[in-house]
Amino acid sequence: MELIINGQTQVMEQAETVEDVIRELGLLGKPLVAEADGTVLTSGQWVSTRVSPGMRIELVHFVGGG
Amino acid sequence: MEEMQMDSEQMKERYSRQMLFPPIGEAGQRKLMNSSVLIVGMGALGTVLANHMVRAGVGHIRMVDRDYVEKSNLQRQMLYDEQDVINMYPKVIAAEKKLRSVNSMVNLEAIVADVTLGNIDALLKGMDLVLDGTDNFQTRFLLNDACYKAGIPFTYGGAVSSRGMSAIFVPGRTPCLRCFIQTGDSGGETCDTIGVIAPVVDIVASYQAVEAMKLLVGAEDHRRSSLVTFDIWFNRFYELKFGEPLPGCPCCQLKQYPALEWKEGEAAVSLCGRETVQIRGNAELDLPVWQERLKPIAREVTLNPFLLRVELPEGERLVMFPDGRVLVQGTEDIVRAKTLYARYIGH
Repeated sequence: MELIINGQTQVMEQAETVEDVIRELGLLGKPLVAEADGTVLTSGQWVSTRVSPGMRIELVHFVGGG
Repeated sequence: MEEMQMDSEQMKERYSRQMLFPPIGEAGQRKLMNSSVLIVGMGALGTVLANHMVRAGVGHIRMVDRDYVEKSNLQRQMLYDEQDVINMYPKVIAAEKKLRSVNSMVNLEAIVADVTLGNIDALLKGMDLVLDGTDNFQTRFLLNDACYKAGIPFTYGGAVSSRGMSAIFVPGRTPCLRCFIQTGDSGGETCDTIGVIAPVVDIVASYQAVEAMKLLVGAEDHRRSSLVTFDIWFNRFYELKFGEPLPGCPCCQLKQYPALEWKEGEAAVSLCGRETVQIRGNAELDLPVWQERLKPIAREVTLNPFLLRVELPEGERLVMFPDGRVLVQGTEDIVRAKTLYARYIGH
């Protein structure tokens, strides 16, 4: 299905949940906040939040440099 | 009375443009002058933060950093120059020198140290606000937890590549850093591995600085209650609105402050991507004595009032500080660094 990830349309065939999306992108375990359709998810909610076509997902990477 | 008038005249002349800005005004300027802030880390973010705080007339600015100025810093760390590299000045010393010539009306405190569980309480004492100029999450979690415990607001900033983000965390009012992230693994993406461009640093630090100014003048209504994030090269800007704190957050909800639990301290840490291992010794180092001791065996030794640099025959370099810290440069291997430390410094 098509998802809008950080403003870009991306096709994700396998992903069923937000956690799947994050895993497919290789970002599990990184300092990251996920937002789905404008709602911030706790990391515990990633696995229970199902993705649907057209869902807007923002993955905000925490930046460590200074 | 005369003195006060003079003080007022000087203040008006120096800060006139900022005082003409109605949300600050004369009352706000006085609040800034009566405020104290701590800047942790005086690298790219820290130098911009300090520059803003000093020019804005924040009365007391305490700066702490563990490192010294190197040539690769000059591309973005705006308070340093080539002479500081030649002099091998610790960053806070070089910054203090520069900032004193910018504004002699503010009280500057320069502390060469690593921020740890052992000194964080003393560093926070008397501070109204903490500005984050660090380059790692371990120290940020320590700041986050210590600030929330002490009830001191903390502005987070981070920059790498062309990406940056910033937020202000206020105990009792906003979520904390731990509400958003539980791990600090940046996947090896640091300024020293994938680089950083200077403009993003200035923008991030300026977001932090303006939130600091709002907070210090009491402009609570205008506090940004979101995390701003942007990529200035690839033209993306996103604002993550703060919600409620994370239920069960170990810092701001359960008040367990994990970073403040005394662990058997890691005496040796690899400074990510820097080819540097820092080893914290147990005893202070008398640098002139060590200079004499190591001169016969080293390729070169250089002493200044703040540190001793020793070029080892093995190719690595030791940078020794009076507080007992030693940077082993030229390796990221902790075992190798400990071997060299044991060989030349012992204990």
